[in-house]
Amino acid sequence: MKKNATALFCLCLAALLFAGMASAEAPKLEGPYLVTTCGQSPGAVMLRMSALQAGVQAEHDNALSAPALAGKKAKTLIVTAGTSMKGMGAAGTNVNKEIERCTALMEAARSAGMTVVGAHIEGMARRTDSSDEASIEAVMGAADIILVVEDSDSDGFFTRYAGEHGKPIVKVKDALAIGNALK
Amino acid sequence: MDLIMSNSVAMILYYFITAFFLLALAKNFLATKSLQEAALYGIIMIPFVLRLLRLK
Amino acid sequence: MTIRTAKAVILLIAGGCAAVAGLLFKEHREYREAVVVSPYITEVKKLSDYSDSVKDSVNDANVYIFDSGVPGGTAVLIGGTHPEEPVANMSAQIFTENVKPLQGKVIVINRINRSASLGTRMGEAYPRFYHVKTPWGTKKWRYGDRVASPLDSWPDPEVYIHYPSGQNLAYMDIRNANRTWPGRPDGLLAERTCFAAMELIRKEKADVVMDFHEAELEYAVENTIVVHEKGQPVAAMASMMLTSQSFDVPIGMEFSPKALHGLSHREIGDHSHAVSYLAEVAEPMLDRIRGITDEELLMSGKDRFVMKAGEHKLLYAPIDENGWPAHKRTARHVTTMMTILQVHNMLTPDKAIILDGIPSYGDLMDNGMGQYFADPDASPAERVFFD
Repeated sequence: MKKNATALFCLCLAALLFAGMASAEAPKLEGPYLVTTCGQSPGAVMLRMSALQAGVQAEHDNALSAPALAGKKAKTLIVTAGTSMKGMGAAGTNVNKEIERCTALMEAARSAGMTVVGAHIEGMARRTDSSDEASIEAVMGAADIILVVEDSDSDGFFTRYAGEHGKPIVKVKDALAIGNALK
Repeated sequence: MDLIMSNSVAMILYYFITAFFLLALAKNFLATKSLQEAALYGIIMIPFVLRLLRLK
Repeated sequence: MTIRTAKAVILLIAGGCAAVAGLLFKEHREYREAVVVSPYITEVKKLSDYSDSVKDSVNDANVYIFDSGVPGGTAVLIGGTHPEEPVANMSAQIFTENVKPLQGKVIVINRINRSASLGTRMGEAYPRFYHVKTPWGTKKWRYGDRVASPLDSWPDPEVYIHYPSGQNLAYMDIRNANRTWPGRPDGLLAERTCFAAMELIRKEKADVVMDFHEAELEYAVENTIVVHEKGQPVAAMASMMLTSQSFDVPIGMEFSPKALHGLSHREIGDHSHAVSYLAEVAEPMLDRIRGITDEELLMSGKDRFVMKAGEHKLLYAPIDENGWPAHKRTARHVTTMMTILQVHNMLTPDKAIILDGIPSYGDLMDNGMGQYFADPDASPAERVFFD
């Protein structure tokens, strides 16, 4: 009897765990999408092109700010993390300004009822320095859902982060596969 | 005077400067009584000779 | 031994060293690289056909034109901007020797800064030549410097003021063919070279320009496509396709900074109708922490010191015991260009540039580069040119 109760308890625990994992592993993303970058890397352009190829509507604006959200009909905001010195130089900004813009934007999007996705889709090449780290920390911290490509999570960083912070994670093979994940 | 002309004039002057330093080194080479200095002048003259001959 | 005898001995030794070094430098400077153009060549011009600014100069490069005769777009491929990055000119030459245009036109310059290929960088102990094994023997190229030789452009200014932006750059960059775009007809050698190339791009109404490069693994802009804002969608799509379908190490994408002047990816796009791209691939030979600097390192891309730096996470590109061999670097450049054209054709079908005869990534990885270069001695004389 005691044995059966223990087995039942284990089964229930496993079912609960699996249910939790299932919801964490496959959150439903819904368009239309708004895409921006926190660090002026090309991630947002890549995401839009991937979405375009999959026939998903996505609008891209590397300088999207909280006030500009008004009037947008998007259901989901995606902010790509990882920085580009060339990109930030070209846009006349820096990582601190980018974080300030994006955290305000993500807050405003959530208030407007949008789902906020923090994405890292350019692989380990955008996880090299302290600027990348700051951008990732800020974006993932403010996101409802995490979206990454396998290369970005090759050391399991995002999986661990999602687990520790109780955030669902969507993991796709590479940037080209993102479009289908957004369908 | 345009930039190409002025740079060409400067280049010719630089070759004269190279020749001047090579001659100065040669003079010191001949004048020195120190074996070590002579060896040093001998080595230093090599790049000046190569530049004057337009080899490097 | 008297001091006079000792001096005579010193002079003899120093003179001997100068003579040997001089002969080696002369051999390097005078070596002519054979190019066997593909049978589909339309015309071989000189850069001076587009601008007198380089006429009779060492940088009056060959311009290889392949016109399909079918209306479409025009692509210009530039190799040899920095001759210490040899895969750049080899990638361009893969096109020159193999391309069969089916639609549109492709124009190739294998050695845009020829002067920089006539001597190696001082103080670096670089090899003078590098070789590739082919089915018919060994093909030989000049290894070079990053900037034009001081024998052809001397002296440098104290500070190089870029034309027309007025931006201050390092003095030696006035000889750097990727800091002197868009150039000027009355400037110094590299400025005049870039001006002539700009004239080519404008007169031929180029739609796409690619500038091939290599970079050290310690440098952040690595294994990537740097692109003018006009080409962002194409570069984004190309980098995703290449990463997903072809390359083991991903290729990224970078925006061309608007405020950094003189670079091809910025100025060509700004001063012509063309969309400008620059491709980078990892070359361990360029790393400051490399070990023995020889042809073996240049061609195999294997270096245990660079690997050690990688173990300490000091690099922007991965490296293992397989290194970054030259055929892999070339395969990446060639495939990057072909993929960019593929996406360009999808987005602008009226300006399509369709090329055949170019080996795929798999071909180059499996077979190496050698079989894609023809034997100049066994080829018809009218198809053999020298860079």
